[in-house]
Amino acid sequence: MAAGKKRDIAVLYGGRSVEHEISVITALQLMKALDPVKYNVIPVYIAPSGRWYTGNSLFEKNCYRNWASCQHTLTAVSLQPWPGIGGLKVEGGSLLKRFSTLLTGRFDTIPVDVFLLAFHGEYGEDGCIQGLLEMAEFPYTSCDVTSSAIAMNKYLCKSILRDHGIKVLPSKVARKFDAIHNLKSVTDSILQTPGLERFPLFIKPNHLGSSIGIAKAEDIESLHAALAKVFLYDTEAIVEPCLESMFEINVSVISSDPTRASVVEIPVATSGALSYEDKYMRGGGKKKGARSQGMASLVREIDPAALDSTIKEQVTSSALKAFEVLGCCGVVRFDFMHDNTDGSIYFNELNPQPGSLSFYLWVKSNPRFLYTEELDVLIESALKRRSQLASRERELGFMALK
Amino acid sequence: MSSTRINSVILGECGNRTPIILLHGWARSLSDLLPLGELLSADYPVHVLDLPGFGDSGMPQESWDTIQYARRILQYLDDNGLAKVNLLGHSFGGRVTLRLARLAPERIEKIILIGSHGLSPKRSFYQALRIWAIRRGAVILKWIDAFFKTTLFKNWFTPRYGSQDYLAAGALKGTLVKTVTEDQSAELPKITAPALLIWGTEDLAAPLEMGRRMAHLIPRARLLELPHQGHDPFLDVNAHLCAYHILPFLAEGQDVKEAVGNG
Repeated sequence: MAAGKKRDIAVLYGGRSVEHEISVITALQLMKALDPVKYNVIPVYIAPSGRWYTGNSLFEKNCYRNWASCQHTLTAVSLQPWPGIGGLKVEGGSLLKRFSTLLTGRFDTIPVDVFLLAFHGEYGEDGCIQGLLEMAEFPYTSCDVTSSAIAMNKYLCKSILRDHGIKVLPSKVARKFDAIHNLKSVTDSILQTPGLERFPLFIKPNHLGSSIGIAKAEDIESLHAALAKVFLYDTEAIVEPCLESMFEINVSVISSDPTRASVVEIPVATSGALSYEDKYMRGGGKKKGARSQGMASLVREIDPAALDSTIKEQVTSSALKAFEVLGCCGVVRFDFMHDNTDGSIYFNELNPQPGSLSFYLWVKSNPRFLYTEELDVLIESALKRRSQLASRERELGFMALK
Repeated sequence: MSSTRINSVILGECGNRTPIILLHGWARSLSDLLPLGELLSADYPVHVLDLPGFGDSGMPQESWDTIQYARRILQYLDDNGLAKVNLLGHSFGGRVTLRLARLAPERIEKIILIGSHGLSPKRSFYQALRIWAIRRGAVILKWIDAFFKTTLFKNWFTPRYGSQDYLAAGALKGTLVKTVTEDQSAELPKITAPALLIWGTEDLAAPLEMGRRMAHLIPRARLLELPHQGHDPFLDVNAHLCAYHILPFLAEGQDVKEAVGNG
């Protein structure tokens, strides 16, 4: 067992995203898997309001269900974007404490060595929180600002990977602002895009994951309905052709030494494309009192023996290449689509903080990582990356102002 | 020799490594321990058992104590040609594990106890007085029932003062009464197998103080305390954390043993 000081690991999750609940599930899972011998686990929950909280009640699922009563047991915290701050600032406190802070400018902090991110969606997975952590010079376990931002813009991500020789389906972005002003022009523009001339088409939010808001359009009317549905959640929709016969095939990649790809999985949809319910509500999620296990509860075939090994190799090598091209860090999941009509494999999307951190794939991979080991790898990798960043020369002085 | 049937699931093919036998808790079944068993089976052969009276195993013909359970497990080892094993017991399965470690030390390589019973819980004066009163009350009511042909014990006393386990025990009531009060504290210092004790700090069924006492009494024991975990710190994703600590514990000394075996 490890000797010496335990590392303080702040698990940061929740946030102002429609995928808030999925983030809570991922965080509750990983907090149970973190090794208490090596780490002090500090839950840091960003409520839907955007306020940050910490406290032991956050380890319990009931806290989120009964938020109004639980909130009072927690301590409000914040993160100041100052290098060397060393931890989270404790907000509020007694009147005396506040007065003392006002006089001295000093405040209580909760020490943090590494931030372990468990967000899904906006503000947590798209580079926003990463930017704050970069400003404060904290190690954190996810893709950096640039790769997170690219990953969470499906159109941009596809465009970059296409330019690096990875196959993607044709696509078109439709903006809410344009659609409100001239829906016909937006529709025409979609249908005139090469590869999108014929229905059926798939419409998804350009910045969200977890299959939220996705819809299939069979004609112009249902295209309009699908766009309206997407614009409830996002300001941009991405439109793609609908493959007649296909299956989804996913693989996870982790920045260990060396960078590794997991075994592949084929998720099983109840009908057509994977829905939010397929991903998160199976495995007991709908039953009263039963526990949803997030992405881990999805019905899937992991490393299916019947799948052609050349397909597995093609998916794995494309994922490793994409990981490098985009400059990813931490653990990610690449989703591909296999076109059964001609055998083509298309990159579909990148999840920079995948549901359940894809532990269910790593435990079946070779070499195998238990979830606890995967989290060790992520923490070590974050510390290594931060030490590389810290070694840069940044003190140029004020030469131009002399 | 007992003929009570034992249902088991056997996982993993790991050559000549010492198998692990997994024993579940009271009123539970092997399905509890299957996720952990699957993780361990990547490195070891694993036998996950339904204890007699639970799951798909047969019902004991009489009320057993933990020594009888231990003897039946030994018979299972014989039937499956298992000369030496590692044992993992949760809760009630821990009681049986402790018995086995004393009954056949030459056949037990290492033991793992998760939220195990086997010691009497420490009670406050009020708790001890309450339990004394309940036990005396039961004796008096049984005497009244026998004398006046009433059913006070069954219909009035048991629903009020019987534990949840007792109320749900059905045909195993006698076994529960025999085993629940067993205290093996005198036997624990004689256990020779290295032991890993895994305990949830929030365990209400087998409180952490019990784990700490057990770790103190077993000579080669170490205790792993899992914060914010209860009585089942191996369910769902928690199985990964348990396997993360169990596998290195089992591997300790393996290199030396394999080198000697090869040499």
